[in-house]
Amino acid sequence: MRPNRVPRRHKLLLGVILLMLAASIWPGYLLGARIEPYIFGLPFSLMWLVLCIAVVFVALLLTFRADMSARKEGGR
Amino acid sequence: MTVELIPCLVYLVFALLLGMLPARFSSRSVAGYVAGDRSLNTVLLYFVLGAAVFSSFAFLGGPGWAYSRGAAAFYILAYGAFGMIPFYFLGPRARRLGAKLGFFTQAEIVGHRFDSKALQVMVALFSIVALVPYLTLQIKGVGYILSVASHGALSEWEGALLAYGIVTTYVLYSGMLGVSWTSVFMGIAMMTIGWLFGLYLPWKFYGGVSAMFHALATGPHAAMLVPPGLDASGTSWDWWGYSSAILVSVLGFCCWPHFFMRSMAAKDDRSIKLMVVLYPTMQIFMVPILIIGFSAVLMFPGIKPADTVLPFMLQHAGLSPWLAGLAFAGTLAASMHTGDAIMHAAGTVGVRDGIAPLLKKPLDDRRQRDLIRILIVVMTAVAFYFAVASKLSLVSLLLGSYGGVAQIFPVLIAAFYWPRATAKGAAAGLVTGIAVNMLFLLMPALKPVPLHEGIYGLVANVIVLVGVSLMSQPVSAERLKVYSEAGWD
Repeated sequence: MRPNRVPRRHKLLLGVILLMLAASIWPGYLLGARIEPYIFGLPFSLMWLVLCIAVVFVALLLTFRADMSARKEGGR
Repeated sequence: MTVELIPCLVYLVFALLLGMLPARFSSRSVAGYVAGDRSLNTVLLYFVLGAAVFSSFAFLGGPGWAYSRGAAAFYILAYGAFGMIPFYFLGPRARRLGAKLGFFTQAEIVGHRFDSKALQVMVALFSIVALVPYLTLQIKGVGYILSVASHGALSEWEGALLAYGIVTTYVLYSGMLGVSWTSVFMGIAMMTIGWLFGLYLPWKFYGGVSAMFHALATGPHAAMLVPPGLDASGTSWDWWGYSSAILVSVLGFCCWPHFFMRSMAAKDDRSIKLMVVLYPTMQIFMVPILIIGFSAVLMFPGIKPADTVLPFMLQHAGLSPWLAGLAFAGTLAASMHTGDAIMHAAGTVGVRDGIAPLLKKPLDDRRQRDLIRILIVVMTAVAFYFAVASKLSLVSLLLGSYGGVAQIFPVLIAAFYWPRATAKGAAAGLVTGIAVNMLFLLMPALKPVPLHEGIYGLVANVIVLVGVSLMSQPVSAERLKVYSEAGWD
């Protein structure tokens, strides 16, 4: 049951995800754990998380597009 | 009949119609009833799995957390955004295995991979123990909402019976497609209502969202806006608790049985992956929900329990009864959205993993479908009893189940990615993890550091799983062949 080789884009994706996860909890969130400056009327602490989620979304989207074109080219 | 009740009733009628209609589009077989003939596209998957974000916890618990614990509520945003990501890799593999070997549930895969019916039954039993209190909470939420919306004309049990009578009807009649069609309607209704109130309430009370946060930040409650917020007693929460609660929820997220089994209902790999990609957008809809809770902090201090902050405002904030009725309907949708998915999953898991493996003869298709329906009614009745009649507190059981469900995660990862893992190892790990989780839940004073009890369970789980697996007979290479061929993602 040896899994097929892990593509580099998936390693990259996992790296970005773990980084964003670390930014959402201790210790990364210490940087974002304050009220000011306000962005779009929301406290910085809330906006920080929204931005983390946005980065995760973009990373997933790029990986998905690469996965789909890899499949078209006769991969899996 | 109150004005508030009218939007609720209109909503209920729509839910019933949308739930009954799709029965025409699925086959009269187990595959049709349990997995919609493996035909779900990205949009249906997105909203069906959105149940994890929009349960009655979202409209009652979410504002309640923001109201009483401030930034601690941000943890809801964080765990939902990350929790779905393992599914990007696990989901398509599970789908292909399910299609190839005829599986519909998580425990069927686990049972096959480890060549152990005992393990399959164990996972099933444990799933049901976790799901029934979850369903109970949804039923309680509906009963409460309809009772408040009718100004007490409907008692809580009458309200719960009305709403869950409708849910049971369409779940029995149309199965998976009923659950998924209604979830699209309910999901869109909740998102709209969430944004509407998340923007309207701060505007009404303070003149805008920004003005509301400025007022909070300069008032006596400024500390609540700084993560990790407050704990249940209102003093500052610690980073240990905040961070570990997120980690446990992230790992447990896609292990919930009513979640994982949807991979087997998906049309193809692409629709699962695209759903995971889009899923973080669901979290953004939690932002206005939290704002609803924040808007009450200065205006309505001292609401207890905090979970009733939204219904309280709907009654006492001087809103038009039509508008309040709309929010009540949204709360109903949130509860039913999760409730129907749980009922459907619990019935399926109970029959396919709990009863079928114990029988000598295999069940034929028709029998199995009937049995699933009977079990759905039985379990809904049990949950209903707990919701309206029993004085037994289920909150601790529910809290325990979050840390408990996360214990399935190492088993799933081992099943897919570690060929050397064995049934004995997986079973021993699971039992140890759950036991440790329960121990620290019941006796938090024993914890060396204030981490979530699920983390202690996970550490013990992984150690035992690896140790016992290495000491026991490996699973035959022939059985593992189908797993190695399933690919990495």
